[in-house]
Amino acid sequence: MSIQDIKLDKTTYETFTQEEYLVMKDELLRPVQRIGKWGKIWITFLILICLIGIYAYYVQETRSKYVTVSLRDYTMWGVYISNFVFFVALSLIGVLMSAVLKLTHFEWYRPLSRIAEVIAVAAILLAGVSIVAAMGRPDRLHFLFIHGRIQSPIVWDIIVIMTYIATSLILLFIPLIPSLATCKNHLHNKPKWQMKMYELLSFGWEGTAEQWKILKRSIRILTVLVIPLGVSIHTVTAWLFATTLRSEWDSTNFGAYFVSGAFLLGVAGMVVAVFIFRKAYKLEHYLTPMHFDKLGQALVLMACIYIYFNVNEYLVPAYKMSGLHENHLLNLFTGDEAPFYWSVVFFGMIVPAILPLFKAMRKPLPLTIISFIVVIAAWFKRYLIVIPGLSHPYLPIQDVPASWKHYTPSLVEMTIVAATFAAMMLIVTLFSRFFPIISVWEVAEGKLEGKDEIINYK
Amino acid sequence: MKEDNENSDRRKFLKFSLLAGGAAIATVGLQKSLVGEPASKETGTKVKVLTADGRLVEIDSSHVTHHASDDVFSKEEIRQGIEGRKFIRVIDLSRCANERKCVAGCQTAHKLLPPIEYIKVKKMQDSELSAPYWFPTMCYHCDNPPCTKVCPVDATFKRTDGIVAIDNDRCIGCKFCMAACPYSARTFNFGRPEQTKFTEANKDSIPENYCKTLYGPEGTVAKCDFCTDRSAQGLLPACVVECPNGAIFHGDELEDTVTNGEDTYRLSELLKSRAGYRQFEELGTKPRVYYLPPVKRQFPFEDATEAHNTIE
Amino acid sequence: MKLNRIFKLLFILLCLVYGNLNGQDLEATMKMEFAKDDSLNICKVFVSSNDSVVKEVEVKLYVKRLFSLLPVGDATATDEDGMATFEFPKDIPADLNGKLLVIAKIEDDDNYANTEVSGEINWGTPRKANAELERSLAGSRANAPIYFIVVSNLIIFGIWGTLVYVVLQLFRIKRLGHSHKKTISKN
Repeated sequence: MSIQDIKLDKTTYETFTQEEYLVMKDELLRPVQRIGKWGKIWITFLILICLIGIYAYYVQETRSKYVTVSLRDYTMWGVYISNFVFFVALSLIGVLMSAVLKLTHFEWYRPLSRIAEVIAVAAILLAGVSIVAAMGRPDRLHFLFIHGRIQSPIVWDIIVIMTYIATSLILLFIPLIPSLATCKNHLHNKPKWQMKMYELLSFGWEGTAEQWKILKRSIRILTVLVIPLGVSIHTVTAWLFATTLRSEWDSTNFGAYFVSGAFLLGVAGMVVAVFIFRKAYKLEHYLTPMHFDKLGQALVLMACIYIYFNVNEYLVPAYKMSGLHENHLLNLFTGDEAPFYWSVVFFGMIVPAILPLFKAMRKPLPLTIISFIVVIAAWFKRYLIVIPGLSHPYLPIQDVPASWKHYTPSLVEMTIVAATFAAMMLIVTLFSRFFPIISVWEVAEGKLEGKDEIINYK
Repeated sequence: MKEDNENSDRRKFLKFSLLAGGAAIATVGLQKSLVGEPASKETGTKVKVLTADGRLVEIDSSHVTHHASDDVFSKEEIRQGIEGRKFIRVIDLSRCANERKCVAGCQTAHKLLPPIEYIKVKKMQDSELSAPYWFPTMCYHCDNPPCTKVCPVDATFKRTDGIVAIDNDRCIGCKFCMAACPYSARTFNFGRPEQTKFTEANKDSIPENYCKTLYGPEGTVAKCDFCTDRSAQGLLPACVVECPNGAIFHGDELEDTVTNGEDTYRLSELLKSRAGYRQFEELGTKPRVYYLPPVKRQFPFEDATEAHNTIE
Repeated sequence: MKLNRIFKLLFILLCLVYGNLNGQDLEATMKMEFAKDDSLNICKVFVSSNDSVVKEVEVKLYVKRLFSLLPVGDATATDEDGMATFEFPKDIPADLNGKLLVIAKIEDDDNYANTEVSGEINWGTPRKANAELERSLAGSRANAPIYFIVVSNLIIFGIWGTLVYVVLQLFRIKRLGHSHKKTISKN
């Protein structure tokens, strides 16, 4: 084999023409190459919030939890748990955008897959952080591993989360390898340790035919694996509630209800992320209005499915109005939580199901605003699932201090929740500053195999 | 002559009365020493102590001052069920008048401050037309416990003697057991400052109806323990002892006997004749506490006149 | 002499006072016997006082339990022979050997002091030794149902096995890369 042959091998898979490749390479490596002023300010801001969050956790653990946290005997689970559920839901974005779309040959996923995978990994890591913040004795965390009971849903959740983290990391990493080789070859003026990192992580990638074969097969195996795994992770999280006898959680619907909610959140989260990356890194050529159009349609689909599960979850029990569910349902529909509940229903489900039906609403900016509202409503939806029911146990709450009857998150709790969001965005931001956020070869592969719809309409 | 006689008679009387009095006192004293309590009972348990001159000696534990903080269930002890027992409870709702002596007694025995309660007395009214009644509720030590199912670290577990116990050295404070309990029986130590100070100040004290089970450290779960160590010795739990109406009957299912301290009944006969039932039977938790419906009440229902546990 | 009589009276008074201080009525002695009459278990309590039988005194029968004494049968008065006969039930649970501690008491009687007598008899239904807790979802870690352990381990090792396989493939890529470099340099 001569050197000429090898070069041909490389160019066959990387891009279309040499000029196009060079343009692409420059554009996609620019955020890695250079961090602008606003980029630095953003990262500093996120680090600041994370530090404040760490301080808040320190305060929580060193001072009495009765004072720092609003949890009490009846409302023993609070925003940490609902935040945990939210982040587990968000981590299914990888399953949806990267795996499901790929296997169903929706080629427009290609520029989005790495963004989705990074958010998935960051979200699931922060879910773990959120749940540890909720533990009464975090110094006994290792007990979960040495004394763990296989019959406990918490242990199932830990097993599935750890498996999902491993799978998502590998699924993030393997398609990254060719990009790492590109980074190694084409970045300049970067610190030595960074270049060394690319060298190490690219695992001797040369772009040979055999290496491509192994890479693609590995990705295919993991893509198939991550779908049931991702569905399991959120189903098991739903079972943390559904395996109890509490009337507000005693529902056979819970697993599917949670997973469908996760898909809706995934699409909405994707829209927001795509919009930010598009603007911040000037990637308008790759994250095009076509993507927003498709994502908008996906948003409608997911919202409709979620509405379907909500109807089954709330309206069917409301028809029967069994004594067991009465308190909880009336509280949500007409009671204290009613304004809260109906706002969440409207903004979290009705709006994404109807507005994106109009083409004008599927333009980048309007769709991003709608999606942002959906993300916020989704966070509050999980709050409504976890907390209000706790104030209405089977045996009435009597003879307790006022703070025991109703839960309002304390400052410490909200600070830590905010810090988890900041930390998630920090992980995604830092990743996008070290590695190209769009997978060049996946885009090029599609173009080469005649799938023009990746970036442009025909 | 007469004077002499009188003098000698008086002397005789004095001598006699002194003798009689002395004999009476002596007999009483003798009786007490034969029949009454010995000054210090030897327990038979030997403990090792260090003497003032540095020698290690073994003496009977009754000679050593008892500190409550030395009373700890070891890791193995707490998981061992008491051999041959299956503790069970029957609560007679026709006797409960919301005296709340059970609540106070339990708090004293376990060194708890209000508003922390292992036993709660609730006002229940099953429907609009049915009569209200006072309902003492605590951990039911279920035979199919939803709480032990979900504990991730085996910190709460069912013992062979029926008691659902908590190992406070194992609990990680996830509160899943609290979420799973449909009777809201469990309480969490969030580190309420007054309680923490109280626990620390009283760690060596032996309160009335003393129960060895500690209120766990901050970040762990606690609940009614059927006064485990008292039950093992044949002492009735604090709530049973304190109830002025004898509403709580405690006993052993294997012995088929329950008692409230005064009245003792055969468990099977009591449940049959008084139609004993269990709370939320349909949930399938199989509680070990039965209730006797409030028919033929001993006194009419009276609403509570004061609010309880209003202090944060 | 008058004084002497007074002294004797005082002495008797003293004895009576002393006796009352100790709450002493007449002393009674009780004896317990167990007998079988056809298929019935009979417990007989014989009450006597100073060598004479005591009639019409209420005797109560109990069985010792962990926390208290369980009353058995009704309070029975002694008959002309000073005997109180109780029919003993056959279904009282007992310890592993079926042994029961039976106690007969005279309590709060107007004439006689509180007395009791006890005896052991094997008339209880023996209990079985505590069964080991069986495997269940509510059990401890070691007591999980077998099917549960098997299925969960199969799933976990199946999935992690796949992950390990994929990671090993990465190292294959690495090896191919190095051997490729060698091939180039050779050429």
